[in-house]
Amino acid sequence: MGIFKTFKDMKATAAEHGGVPNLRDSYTDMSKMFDDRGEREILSTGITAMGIVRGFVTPVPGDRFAMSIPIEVHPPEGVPYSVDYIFPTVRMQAAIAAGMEIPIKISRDDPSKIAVQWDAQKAQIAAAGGATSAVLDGLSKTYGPATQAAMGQAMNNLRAGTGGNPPPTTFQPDAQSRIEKLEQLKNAGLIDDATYQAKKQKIVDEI
Amino acid sequence: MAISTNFTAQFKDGASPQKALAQWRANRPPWLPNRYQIIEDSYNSVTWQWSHVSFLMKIVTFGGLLGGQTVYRVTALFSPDQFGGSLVTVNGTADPETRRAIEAASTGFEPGGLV
Repeated sequence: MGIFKTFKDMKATAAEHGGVPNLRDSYTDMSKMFDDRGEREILSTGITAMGIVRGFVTPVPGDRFAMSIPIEVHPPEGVPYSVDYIFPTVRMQAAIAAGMEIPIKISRDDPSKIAVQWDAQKAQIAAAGGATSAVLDGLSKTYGPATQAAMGQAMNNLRAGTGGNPPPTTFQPDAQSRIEKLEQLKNAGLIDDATYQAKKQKIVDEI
Repeated sequence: MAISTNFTAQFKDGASPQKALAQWRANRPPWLPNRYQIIEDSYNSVTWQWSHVSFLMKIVTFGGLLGGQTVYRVTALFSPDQFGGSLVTVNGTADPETRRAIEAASTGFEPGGLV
């Protein structure tokens, strides 16, 4: 109960991350956790722009306090370009997921460096009707066309009587059986020699 | 320490999003007190902030040196509506007085955080 439960939970959580650090390591972790990695400078002096999220947030290998997400940057002037946006985890204040249009600022010194404007992103999510709606909107923009194409194909298959599965390939006897069948037709006098040779050559070419 | 005062409100503006954004930047809406200052712009929004330390917290924290600060942020986001005007979504946290003023002036108001 109370403080004892808190300490017990802290110890258990720390154990999942390699144990409770000593004071020096704790301070190092805190420094890394609160390091803004230049984001506030970019937010203060950068160029206002729009970004389109092209993937999902993933942990950065070897860096416990940062996350990564691919973003297509649309500067006010010039052509769009892609960056792998690595940001301090503690700065994340709202959902970002594939397909979302997000407010960003671009560093004037290095256009590959950007910072997300989280207050504006929170307002965008509120305007979309909440995080779930905003995420689904983004996913729909990104994966909607492919999903619709797959659904359309499935519907066509249903109409074709294949139960939604792709139509099965038609059975094709092997080449030897087909040539034997041709010989039977020729011997029975149903096809002439020229037709036999042409069909036989076609079967051989298909092998 | 801040008590949760999150809200989302909506307003209508007859101007296009870009024009409405410029107008709101130049002339703050009447429901937003002067103590709120612009701290950030995005391509379709503007954010105001007021950092406040209560009298009691100033005494306890040596004038705010040891914290005790409450930071309120209000963001207005401008989207196009179907009539050539703008739908303005105002989201964030505000002091109770400002929050009541926003609620009274808005066309739609919803307390609470992000859902």
